[in-house]
Amino acid sequence: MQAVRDLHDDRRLFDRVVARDESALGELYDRHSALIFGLVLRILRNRTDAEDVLQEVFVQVWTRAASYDAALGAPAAWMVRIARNRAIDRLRASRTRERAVGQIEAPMPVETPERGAARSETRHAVLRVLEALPADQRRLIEHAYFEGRTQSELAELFGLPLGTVKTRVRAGMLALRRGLAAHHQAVGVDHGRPD
Amino acid sequence: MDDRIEFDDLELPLAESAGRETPRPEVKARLMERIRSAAPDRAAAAPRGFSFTIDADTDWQPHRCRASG
Repeated sequence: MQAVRDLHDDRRLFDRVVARDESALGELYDRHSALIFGLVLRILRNRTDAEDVLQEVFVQVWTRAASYDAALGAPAAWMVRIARNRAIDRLRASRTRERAVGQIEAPMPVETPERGAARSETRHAVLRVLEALPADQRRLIEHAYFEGRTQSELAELFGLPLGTVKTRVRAGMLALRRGLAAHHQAVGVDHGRPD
Repeated sequence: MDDRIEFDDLELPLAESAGRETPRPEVKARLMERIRSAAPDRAAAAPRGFSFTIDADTDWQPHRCRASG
């Protein structure tokens, strides 16, 4: 199982990072920088800012790898969470600046399953599951994930009652989990849940 | 009100949905340079002609508490 091998390799690399092995950090970077950079770029829509955040993420991995808790998920998920939090903090700071000078935010780029020929199988599967969600659920989840919107902010942004937002987000996430589980079962993937 | 949504196990799949992008090679070079400069090796930190060892601290004594006021 490739996913399980990847998980074990990442954990071994984290152990080496904790032991101050610089080459292990380099290997982690080679394995995950494209995933993290793609995510951060989608959030910030600016390559220079995204590169800054990417570097900060790996500096944090270098300084905080000892605090990683395997019980809370895969190392890659831990790094992705750090990256998303940092990118969203930066996005919120820039939104505040833009508001201060009265600029209008650019619309979120439209992501379609057709975009990009060399897309990973995992990405294909996630996009298929996302596409299968009702549009109102998908939109809420995407704004929450890629813009860090809280449920209250989503309610205000879309003019919906807070209870409706909570119900739709919960239903969307449940459907996503089910869809991904069905995909993993269909292709026989053990996607590396913590031991 | 901070009612952020926790994505937990969906964190990684949703990140994948953004698509992978390759950063410029300079980013990795800068990162490695940064961590090297942040943690100079111990040999370089000691002045020439000196070496340091960490002594055992088994005879360590606790401070006495002083009454305040």
